[in-house]
Amino acid sequence: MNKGAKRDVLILIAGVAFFALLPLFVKNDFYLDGFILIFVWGAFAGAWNIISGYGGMVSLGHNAFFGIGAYTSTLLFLRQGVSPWVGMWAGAVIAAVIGVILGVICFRLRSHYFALATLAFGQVASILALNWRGLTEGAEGLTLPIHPSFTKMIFATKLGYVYMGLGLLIAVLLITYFIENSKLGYFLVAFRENEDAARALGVRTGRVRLVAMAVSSALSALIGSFYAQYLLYIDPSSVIRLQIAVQVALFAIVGGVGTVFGPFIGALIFIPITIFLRAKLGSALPGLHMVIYGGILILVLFYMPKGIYGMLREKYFPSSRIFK
Amino acid sequence: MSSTLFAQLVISGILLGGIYALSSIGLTLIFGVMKIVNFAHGEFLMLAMYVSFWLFHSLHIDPYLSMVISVPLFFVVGMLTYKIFIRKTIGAPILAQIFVTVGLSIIIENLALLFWSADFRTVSLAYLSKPLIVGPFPGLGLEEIIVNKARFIAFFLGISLSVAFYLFMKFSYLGKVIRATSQDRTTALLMGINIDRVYTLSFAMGILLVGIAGALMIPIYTVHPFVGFEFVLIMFVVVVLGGMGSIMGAMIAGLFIGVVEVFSGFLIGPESKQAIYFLVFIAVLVFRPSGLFGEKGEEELERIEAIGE
Amino acid sequence: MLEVRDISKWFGGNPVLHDITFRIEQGEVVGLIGPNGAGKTTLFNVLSGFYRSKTGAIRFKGEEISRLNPEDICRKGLCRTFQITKPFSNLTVFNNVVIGALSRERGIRQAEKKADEILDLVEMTSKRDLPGRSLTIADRKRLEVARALATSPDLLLLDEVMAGLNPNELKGMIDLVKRLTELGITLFVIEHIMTVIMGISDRIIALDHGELICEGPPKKVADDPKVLKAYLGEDYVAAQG
Repeated sequence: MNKGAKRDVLILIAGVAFFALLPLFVKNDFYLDGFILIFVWGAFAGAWNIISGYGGMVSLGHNAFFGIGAYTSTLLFLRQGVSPWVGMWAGAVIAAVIGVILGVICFRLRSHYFALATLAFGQVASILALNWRGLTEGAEGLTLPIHPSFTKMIFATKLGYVYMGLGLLIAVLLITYFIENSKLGYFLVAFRENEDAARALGVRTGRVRLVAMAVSSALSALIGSFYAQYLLYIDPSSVIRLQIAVQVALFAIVGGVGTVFGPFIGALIFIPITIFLRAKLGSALPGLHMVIYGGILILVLFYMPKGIYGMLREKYFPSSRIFK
Repeated sequence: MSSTLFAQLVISGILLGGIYALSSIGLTLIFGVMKIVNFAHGEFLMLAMYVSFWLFHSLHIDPYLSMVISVPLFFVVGMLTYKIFIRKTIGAPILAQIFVTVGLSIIIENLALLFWSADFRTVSLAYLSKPLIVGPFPGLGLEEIIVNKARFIAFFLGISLSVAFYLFMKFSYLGKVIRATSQDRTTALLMGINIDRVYTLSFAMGILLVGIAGALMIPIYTVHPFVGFEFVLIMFVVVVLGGMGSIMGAMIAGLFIGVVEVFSGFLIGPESKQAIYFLVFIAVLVFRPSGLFGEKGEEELERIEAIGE
Repeated sequence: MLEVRDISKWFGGNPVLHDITFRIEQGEVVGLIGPNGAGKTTLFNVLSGFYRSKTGAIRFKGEEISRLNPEDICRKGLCRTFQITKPFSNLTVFNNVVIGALSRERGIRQAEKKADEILDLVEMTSKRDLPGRSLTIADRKRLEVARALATSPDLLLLDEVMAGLNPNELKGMIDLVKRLTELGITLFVIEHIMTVIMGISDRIIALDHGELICEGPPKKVADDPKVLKAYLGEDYVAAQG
């Protein structure tokens, strides 16, 4: 391990320790809620990043996978009494299968066309969630009974959710790190950089992207299940509307697409802004935080296209193998 | 289904489609010329509806007359949007191309929410309130058909303007320059065409067209900050179906989607109809990315260009 | 090594390749010449799987490959470079080559080791850590060769790797191509510069308007009236009488 890598690992351990220990000293539920949201959205943006950041296939339909996770575990629990610990994996499998089918159908499309197709896909999912009332109760949503119990993945205090959220986030970061340093990551990046050159060099671009899509959609679903367990109430607007897909993309872009930590950094910046504005303004200036989101997004795209972490990495963390 | 009902549905569909056609032409023009999907197109339409609403509400200007103001206004808005935002995305990585206009749509939508709240606002014009009754046509076996006046006007003006715009693109010098640029940017550049100016004008015209559409739609639809999102999805369907970049295609596809929407709304219920045409949309993208009515081969040409010879 | 029989390719109604048949033997250097638009790159695109021929067959090392994808053809040992170079612009020269090596090597470490060997072979070690986008034309062409080489090809298709080079760079590239043949790699080379292609090829194939018009040793092809006509026009040939 070289010196730079050693330092990175130290920073990483310090970071994990910080986020693992800090909640113990925070007694205020308001802040703990902030932690949970940062972990959920950071992890979700990280999942999106695997196919859209590393693979360059920009998805505007990840709301569907998040929603599939949330609805699958919740419905399995409400209708069949299946523990969410099991249900979340069922959701992940369903999401992965649907992700792969979507990939088989749509990967031949280039850039804009793929984005539009996934947008339509996400929209179909959200229309289904809204109108397939027999299954989803439509706009009325589904409520999970509040009986804290570990087997039902319902925790008595926020701290339980904080640690589970942190666990998911770390899992996503580890998976992303592993991908970046494996053949899969190299091949995804090769595809993103130049499809023809990649194929001429023997990169099975179709298969590689399908694997990335499966991982990305499965992780999104797992996080969706967890989010449902945290809210204990889901409806189409909280777990599957299109704005969710746009939001995760936005976090990842601002933090830095195609990087391990970028998406998390994005969530780390945006979630506190949102919470702060909501707390200060209440419902006085609706939409203000979204105006700020949009403004930051455009500024970053113009002046910092690699995102915040992407820029930092270039200057301070040159230890990544593939991005030097 | 009686023949009168059938005729009624077809006519309603076509009238609806005229509106879709007009509002989608700008989107397809912008894509065709600069290969950029304007995800904020719906939000510009929403702004246009608000402009006509406020002109009516505070100055009592008839929405159809308000076009005199919105046409130049939206031309300028389009030009500024191009110069400030879109120009920087030309030739930029795909992420920037997609998300700059996504960011714009977020900003415009939420600014509207900030300034005008989420209230639903409508313009009702006394002279439009009574529907036109056409028929009966005993010879065709049809009873009376009801035609909404506002929709009829929107259709009539929408289609006339679309055709006028099509002819303009086909025969005017500027239209030819724009089409040349959209077909082959490099060659156009070599021929001395000022690409940046063509892009500015195309984007401005694209936005101008939704300016008109907004004025035609405000007597029919309620306006609220999220109305653009509802329409932009339909516009995408129309544009893709018509072949991205094809003006004639967008007109035909607009009418087609209008009819499909009215029929599927009647036959399977209004909730599911959207899901149906999004599935159609994905199918078209996958199996005929050049659109049902577009010219063939664009995808292949791009491939050839990419790998040489 | 390679047996091509009756392949054709149309764009729309235009035949770009018409009933092309030829063979390449193990260890040969075969040149492919022809005026602009003759179909040379299209032939490469068909051989490497980027285009499908509707007719005929392509056998590589005894195996039918005309229905395979580019990536699978590459993994069988037939690799090509691009005339319009396509570096992975945001990756270093080194990682460009690593990706080439990865399709054959087991892991990243092995691929990295191989990449360094190859950079040494093509004399690009000094540019190892530069991003692909910052290279000169000559270095881009060299990188194309290096990446292709990293896939351990038995047959390498070189598409105008010498075009646009200055005399010094040209000499370097010719040396490199000679080194490749010493490694036992069979080469199929598109080149415009006649003296170069005559010098390095064992045999030459000439295309014009999608037809194979002449095939044989360099001297014979250079003197063939059909080749002269294709390059210089009817009048010139008539005038030379």
